[in-house]
Amino acid sequence: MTIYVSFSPIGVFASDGNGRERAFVSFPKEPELAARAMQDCMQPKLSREESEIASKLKEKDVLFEIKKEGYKHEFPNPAGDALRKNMILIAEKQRLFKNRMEFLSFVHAVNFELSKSSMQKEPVNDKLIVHAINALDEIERTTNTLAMRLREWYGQYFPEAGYKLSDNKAFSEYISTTLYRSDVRGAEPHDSLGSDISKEDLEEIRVFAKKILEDFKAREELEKYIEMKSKKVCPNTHAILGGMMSARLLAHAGSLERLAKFPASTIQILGAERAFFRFKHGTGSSPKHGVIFNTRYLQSAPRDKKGKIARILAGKLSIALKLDFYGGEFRGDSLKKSVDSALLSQKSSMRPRPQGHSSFNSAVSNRPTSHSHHSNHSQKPRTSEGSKTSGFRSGTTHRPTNNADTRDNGSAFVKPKQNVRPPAKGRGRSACKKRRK
Amino acid sequence: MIPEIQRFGRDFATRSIAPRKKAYDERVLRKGRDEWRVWDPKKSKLGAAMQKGLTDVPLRRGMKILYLGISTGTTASHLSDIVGFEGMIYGIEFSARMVRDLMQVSSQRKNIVPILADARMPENWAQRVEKVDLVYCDVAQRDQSEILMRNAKVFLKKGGHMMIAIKARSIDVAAKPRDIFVQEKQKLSKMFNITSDVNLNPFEKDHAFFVGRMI
Repeated sequence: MTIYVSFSPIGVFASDGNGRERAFVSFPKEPELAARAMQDCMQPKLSREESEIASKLKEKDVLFEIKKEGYKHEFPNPAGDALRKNMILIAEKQRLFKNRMEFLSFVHAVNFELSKSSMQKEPVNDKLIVHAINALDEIERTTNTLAMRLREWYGQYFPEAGYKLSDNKAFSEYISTTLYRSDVRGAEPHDSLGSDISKEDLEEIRVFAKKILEDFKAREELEKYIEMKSKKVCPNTHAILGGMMSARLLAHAGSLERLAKFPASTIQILGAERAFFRFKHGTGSSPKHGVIFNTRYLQSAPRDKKGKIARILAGKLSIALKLDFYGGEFRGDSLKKSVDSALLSQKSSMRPRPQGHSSFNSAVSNRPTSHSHHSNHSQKPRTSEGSKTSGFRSGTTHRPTNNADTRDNGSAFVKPKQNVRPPAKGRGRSACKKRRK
Repeated sequence: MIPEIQRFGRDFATRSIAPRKKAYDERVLRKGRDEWRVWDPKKSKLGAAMQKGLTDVPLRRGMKILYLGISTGTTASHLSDIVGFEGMIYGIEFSARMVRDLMQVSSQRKNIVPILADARMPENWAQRVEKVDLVYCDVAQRDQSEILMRNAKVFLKKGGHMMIAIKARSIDVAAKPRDIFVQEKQKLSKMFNITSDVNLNPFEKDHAFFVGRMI
């Protein structure tokens, strides 16, 4: 006969197939110890209480509710069902608690302990990066606002300095050190458009400037920290994207685990959610890139190849993130190299499109058109040159001449295009614009 | 409705079991020696459902509840007022950040049990809970109805009740919410008699709330 075993905060319970009790071993009555005993029971090895119960049973055929080495398991099993249904009755029978309230507060305390320890085990390093990059963005926002105020304020006294020093950090550095017009070399104090301001008023501005300078320094520190931290937490991703962009990706997903479990297509459009949902609602075209857009790969990609590069980059990132999260080896350099080479080949790709590239093209070529005298050629195998000139994305109506074969192919593809909508490249954009107006 | 929930003007409120301790930033009304915590319909979907006319609230003192997606325990704090110390709320939440706040509420209300786990996989935490009289599901996942039914099968007592907040936008961003509500209702009808349904507009956009009883 099969015996079923399960456990609960009060102890380990064995029953027959109808849930009738066969054996029970209780856990310690201190919530901390009971929680630890439960944790042991959740492991694939038999815990102390479980082996005790196994020794009590004559039967060999024991079935657990969770995975146990050397045993079968089934969820939910009759023992678990009975235990969850009658936990308080079983506890009463064992005289574990004085009353129902005591039982409930025990269950609460054990669960509280268990949750506490699983909270403490939560991975935290990726979260630290997320906080740091968010803090960085916030500092950036506030320093800019404050620096603008500083410019206005100091402009009352010496507006020329503001025009000269366009960099906010250099400007606040200048005020916190030099401050007085008379101390500026080569400047005639009375040439300034600003009015004279008393020393104590100026010193107040200096205090403000020093505070802003401090923020600028904190910002730089944070940048260094993020760079260092992300190299440690996600080395593969760091190799491809650098620290800042890796951190931004992480911030979008919330944690490394979530990000690592995203498909590449999600990584590709992370940060372009609005555009994506607009697309899903049937208005607008699908976005090709989200935060990834701010990488040098996409910045330097040819305009019409950005989507392709984004896809390749996202694919490699997905691999890198999985390596990082599941503790794989370092392959960042080779991943980076493959994105780079893809970019390079796209940049120099005036080469023909691969054969049989687009079923759309052939579908178009088979369309019945008024140019029936071409239709007998449309089934011919396409040469690479022919498909190149018919390229949908090229957007030209350029027709090859000379070679009869290519001309026929070319015209078969090019002609119907005039009946078809404009190339995909510009379509979504203009459609959107119109709708918005 | 039930005596544990009372109306004060337009608001619903529950009698606090932890006086002078707030679970969230709710308004508190004093009436004699009792403290009544106002149920904010903008923060609680059950609160919103009641504002929208839901009277079919199968909640009783001493009840046990399994709450999937308990979050920081805003709604759960009112449920905890209702079930009292003889009852129990087992709260499952996947986000550690939310559980952090929930633990604060839980330490003031000993009838809320915080469990940091995935509601999709009851096999990982089933041993920590008991069978319950009601499953409350607010998980905003694509398969939220399936999650509810899977858990109800394991944990809901015979003839037990369920409450679910359906978020149409989590199931399909592009489809019409009404179609999704119909579809989810059909799915749930295999296992439950759905006794009430309300749309939570304007408190929550594209949300519906169903109450039912296991067949």
